[in-house]
Amino acid sequence: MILRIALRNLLRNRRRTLYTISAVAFGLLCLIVFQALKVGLHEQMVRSTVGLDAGALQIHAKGHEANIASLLPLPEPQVVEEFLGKTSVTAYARRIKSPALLIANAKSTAVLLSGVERVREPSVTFISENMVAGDYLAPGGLLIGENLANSLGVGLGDDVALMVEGWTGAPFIRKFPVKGIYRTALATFDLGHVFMPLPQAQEFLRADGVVTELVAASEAGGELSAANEVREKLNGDDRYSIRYWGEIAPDVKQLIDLNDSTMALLIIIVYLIVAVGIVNTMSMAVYERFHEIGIQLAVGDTPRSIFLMILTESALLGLIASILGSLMGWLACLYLGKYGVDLTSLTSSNQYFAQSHILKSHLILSDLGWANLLTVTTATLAGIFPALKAVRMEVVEALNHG
Amino acid sequence: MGKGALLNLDGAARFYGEGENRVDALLSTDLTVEEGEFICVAGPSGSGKTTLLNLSGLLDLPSSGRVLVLGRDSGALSKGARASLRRELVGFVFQAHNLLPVLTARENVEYSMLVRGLGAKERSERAQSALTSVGLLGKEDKFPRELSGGEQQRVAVARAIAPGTPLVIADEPTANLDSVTGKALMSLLYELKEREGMTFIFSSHDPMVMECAERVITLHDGSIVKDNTK
Ligand SMILES: Nc1ncnc2c1ncn2[C@@H]1O[C@H](COP(=O)(O)OP(=O)(O)OP(=O)(O)O)[C@@H](O)[C@H]1O
Ligand SMILES: [Mg+2]
Repeated sequence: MILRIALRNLLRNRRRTLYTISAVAFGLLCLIVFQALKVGLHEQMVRSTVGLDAGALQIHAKGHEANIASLLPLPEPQVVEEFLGKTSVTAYARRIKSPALLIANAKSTAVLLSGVERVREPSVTFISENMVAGDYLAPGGLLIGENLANSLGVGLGDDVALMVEGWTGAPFIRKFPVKGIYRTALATFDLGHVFMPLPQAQEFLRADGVVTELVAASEAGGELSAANEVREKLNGDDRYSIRYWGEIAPDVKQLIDLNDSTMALLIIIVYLIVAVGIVNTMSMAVYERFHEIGIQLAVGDTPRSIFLMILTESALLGLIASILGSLMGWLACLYLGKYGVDLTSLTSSNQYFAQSHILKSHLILSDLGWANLLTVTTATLAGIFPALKAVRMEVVEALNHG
Repeated sequence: MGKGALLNLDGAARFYGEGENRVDALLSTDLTVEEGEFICVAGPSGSGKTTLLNLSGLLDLPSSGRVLVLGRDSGALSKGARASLRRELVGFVFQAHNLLPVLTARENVEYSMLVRGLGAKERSERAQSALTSVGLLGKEDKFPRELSGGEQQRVAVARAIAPGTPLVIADEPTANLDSVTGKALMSLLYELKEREGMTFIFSSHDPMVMECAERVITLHDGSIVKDNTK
């Protein structure tokens, strides 16, 4: 009976009920879409960071410092690889990295030279999928970014000179033909990174068999736990330093965390608005019905069940709005998850969109569940205030209304 | 003060406000009502009829003096206990807007029994017989807005008698009805009183209604000025 009374009361002022439901549903819709876009953005950021160069995690010799030229060799890479095979890491590859000077047509630029494994590297990073000309890591040649090739005025087959400081500390310079050209969505990366096959780089740097870095991939989202597993396996061996992408690119990690807290603030604001809307609607509904509530009390109904009736009404409002908002949010995310939003004009030189400029949403089911739970809870709680007002009235006072 | 009295007002008074603004709605009043009476509280507007009925029906408490219902002092009860005593003893009919607009006639009647904890089967049987006895057979499933004023008041009467409380209090039940409908409602109440044996206290300033009563208590400026039993 309480449910019946509550439901019919909601239907009584259809327009007001509809307004409230639409407003709450719209709030929820926005929240769901924002959240899904945020998740999509973060995944994109991580995917870009991980797939461009960082990998899920990297293993170096202790003492290695990013961006400082030192050919610090990784001790016993094959032993580390054996360990990696026993963790949740899905792929790994060896690298040697060295700063270098690239010279062509009387122009020169500083680049990072990476010697990478032709077969295993593509299972960790996506440069091989971003070829625009030539071959990925063709023997004897150099793989450079498209914009770098353009600014140096070189094309496929042209020679460029590469100068490095070798293993012994002596400088070496040699000409390599450009055998491959790639383009990621991140122009600044392409300008500064050149690649060649690992053995060729080792020979050029006079560092036979030297590996400076092991890079590994993991399931999306499992990077940190994979890194922790590796740390555990290599526990006590202080020759190694293991870092997951969040430590390799702390800027990305911080931005994600910052985004998460901004979103939390947004969520609080949206639910405050939802609460205020429902308090308002229910207060009006209760105020109009003081006389009726007086009748209910005089007929013998208890304040408790009147209280429940009003809470039921606000909970129903929340529930209907929740279902509606979720449905719309889900549909919106279905679309945005498939086609996404093209953000090229905003992200063309943004490191977080290194693979694509389309932002796609990713709706996580548990997020949807939480949003619904919060909406219904907020709506129910919002009913408490008007319900208390109704219950605190004396019967006679209520009867005199209207 | 007969011990078997249904209702006893013992110097009961009710005033509103304080000091200069004090309004004496009902001055110190003594009154005894026995079971099975059929009483009209008469008097001009503002004479204290509603105040007297609210005190008698345990809706309100006296500012001084006592109101005893079946020997129990309403002022000595907690709010909850007073509400449950009221649930047990009193059914109400008000002047207008008696019914919950979102419930049908039948549901309105059943509602008064639901809150008293009656089972579904008993509720529907009693609702049916109460609605039949007020002459609303065939209109059980209409909403209040689909019923005339007289029919709505009859639903309210059905709702007041269906739970079987010994006392029914009706504050100006005919005020919003034309005289023919009003007279019909009064004959209905009398008939119910005869048949079910319950006590009725109703208020009115309509001479036609007063004529129907067996006992007329006349109020003026918060005091009983006449108490006539036919
Ligand atoms: N809540 C209140 N606050 C202040 N004064 C009140 C209140 N209720 C009633 N009164 C006053 O008490 C007096 C008696 O009121 P009551 O409602 O009992 O009269 P009544 O005989 O029922 O009148 P009517 O025929 O108009 O219904 C009136 O003067 C009224 O103004
Ligand atoms: Mg009155």
